[in-house]
Amino acid sequence: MTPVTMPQVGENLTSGVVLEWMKAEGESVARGEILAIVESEKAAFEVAAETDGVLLKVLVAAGQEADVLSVIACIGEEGETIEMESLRPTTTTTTTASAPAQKTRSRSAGTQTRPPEAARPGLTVSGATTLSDRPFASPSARRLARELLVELSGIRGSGPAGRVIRRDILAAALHASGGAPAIEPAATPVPEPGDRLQPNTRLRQTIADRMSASARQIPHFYLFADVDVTSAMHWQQELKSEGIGLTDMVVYACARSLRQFERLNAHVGDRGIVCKANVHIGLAVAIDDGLLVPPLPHADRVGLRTLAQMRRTTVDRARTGLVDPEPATTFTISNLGPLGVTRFLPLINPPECAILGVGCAQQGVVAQGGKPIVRDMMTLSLACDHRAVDGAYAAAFLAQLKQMLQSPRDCLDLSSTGESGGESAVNDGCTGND
Amino acid sequence: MTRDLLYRDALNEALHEAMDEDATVFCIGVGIAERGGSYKVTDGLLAKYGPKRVIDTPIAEPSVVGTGVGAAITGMRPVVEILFVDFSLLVMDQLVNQAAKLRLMTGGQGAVPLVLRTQGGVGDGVAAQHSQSLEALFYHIPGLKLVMPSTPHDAKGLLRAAIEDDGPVIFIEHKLLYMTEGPVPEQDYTIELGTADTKRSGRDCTLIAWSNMIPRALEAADILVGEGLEVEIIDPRTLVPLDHATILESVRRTEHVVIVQEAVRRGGIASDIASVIQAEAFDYLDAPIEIVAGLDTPIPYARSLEQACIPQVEDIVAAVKKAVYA
Repeated sequence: MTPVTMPQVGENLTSGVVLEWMKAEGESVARGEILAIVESEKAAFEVAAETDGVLLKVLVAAGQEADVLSVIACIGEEGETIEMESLRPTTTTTTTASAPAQKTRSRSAGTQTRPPEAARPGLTVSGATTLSDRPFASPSARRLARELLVELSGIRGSGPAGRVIRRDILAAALHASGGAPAIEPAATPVPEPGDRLQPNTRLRQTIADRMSASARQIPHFYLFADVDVTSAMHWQQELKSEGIGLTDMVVYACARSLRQFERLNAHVGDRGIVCKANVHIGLAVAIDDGLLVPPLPHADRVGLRTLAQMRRTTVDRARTGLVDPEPATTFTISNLGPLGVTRFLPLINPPECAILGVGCAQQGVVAQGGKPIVRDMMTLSLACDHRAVDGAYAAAFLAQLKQMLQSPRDCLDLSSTGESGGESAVNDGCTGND
Repeated sequence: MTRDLLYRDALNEALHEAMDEDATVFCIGVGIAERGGSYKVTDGLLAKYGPKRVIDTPIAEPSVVGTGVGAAITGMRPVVEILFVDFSLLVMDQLVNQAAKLRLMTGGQGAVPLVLRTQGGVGDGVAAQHSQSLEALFYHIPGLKLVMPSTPHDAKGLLRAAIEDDGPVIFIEHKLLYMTEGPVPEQDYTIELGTADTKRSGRDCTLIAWSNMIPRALEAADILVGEGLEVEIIDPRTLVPLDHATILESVRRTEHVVIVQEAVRRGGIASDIASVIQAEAFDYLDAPIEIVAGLDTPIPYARSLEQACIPQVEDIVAAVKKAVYA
């Protein structure tokens, strides 16, 4: 009897979902035939039979999840008894029966084949523990892979014994970006007297790597909207004692709108766009020689009051360098308004799909009914990943933001909690007139 | 303005200046006064400062260092010379149990501003008892500072700083460096203990070395340029205190590290620096840290065997290539 296990297809992946069984129980299978399609967080893979025989038992039904390397089915001779104890799908990764590594073939385009050196079969230690076939990689390569969003498991290492090293990651990133140099070779400028090196802090280096990856890999496009915030400014005056500001209104409007515009609250994956279930707004916060993006978790589920309070606490903590790593942000807002910037071209914070740049509110002359009038105006700059959305979609999102911010009293709910308030406000509360 | 000086003359100048400026500075050791020292570092001091401040002693190292430690406790600034670091083993009690401990055992009320000058490393066939690199013994002892200059410039500036320091400072010169020449500023200067110097900039590999391994590392770097590799050479200059910041900054940039020491590898300072790097810059290492060190053996008298026992230029070249997967 040969067990079939959930393949380990990525270094950090702990589980996979069986999408579909291509063979039914009792059906005979030949070595190399596709038994099932499984999906990890990153991609889908085919699981092939390691041996000829009959698919005796399916232990993990389609649609169910199982830990990597746990047994999901077994192949044997017709009529063979199944030792159920040894085959139970596990909830931990440490107790699976020994099994040869499944041959997996990526269904996503590109470079998912395993380096032969790293594709070690599962080793059995005193008949109980299976070691995962993780690729060996230098610490630097692992860090760079994280920063450049390169999947480590797909890379053939060029170091001794197949070790994945820095240059392998760079080559993979180069491949992914379609040939442009992944990282410009460090120019050696001619030093002049008085030049001073300011060594990179880790934060600086992280920002450099992530923003380079963003600029290189994400096809950005930009849309702008001038928003009349005259009534928002009035309302802000009234709400001053509660510490609610224009920024909070922008965050609120964004968070609520992203529920509808889910393509802007998404990650671009290998095979499609992963629309995130939750809205976790990231706020770009400037700190000493750097930038942090702390999350406002579930920002779409709270009223303006709570949101403002949450934002204050989060920003204050971020300014002291404290940021909660979880949850990962799904959309970022960068507000340079307080610094007098009117509009700018922000870079998307990968793996997100969009970022909103908020400019300053200032008086401007606008035409209304054929006459010039003075209003408080603010420009929103939206950067989007063209792989995920197109101009019209992003424009509709921006139009909704504009509408909400121009009629804040109607569209923004001060104290709603849960799902009810905001949803209705977004859907039917706005008239656009103020 | 600078002029070229021999390493030994730069040290000599430092002693002259220190004795000029501070009447509590005096020199003591075997053959340092009349003879001017085996390597002429104390040349001319006797004539200028007299026998009370430039003292010849019998060959009795424990007494010489004991005298220095006692004088330092009373507020003098002795510069004690022990010919060859090998013979500092005779004075370990004075150094380790007395000099290194006093400041802490007196709650900071006492100090031992002593400089112990001595010579380390091979010296072209002076055999096992005169060729050792024993810096790791001192490195291991809390309370001792450890300086190992590689150039005339560093030798002078560091010796001035060591004499001004409230010590105790072990100052190890290298026999093969005394006759090397290099630029030394005309004006007064000191080099703060604990500051490393980047002897050469490069982006491919960080090479950490000190004392007589620096000229070899520079030579290796020249060869490696021919292979398209730019090596950054960092000379810690003082091993205690050790300039972590400069080392780590370089490592995070190059991601490949080679450490070269003349001393035997086992229990050496290179291993300790490697441990600092892996702890502080783990995510930046693209390869295992390479250590090039002396073999675990007493140094043989025969020149060819002596050479085989300590790192040569080609060993350094090979280690760098291995570290960068070239």
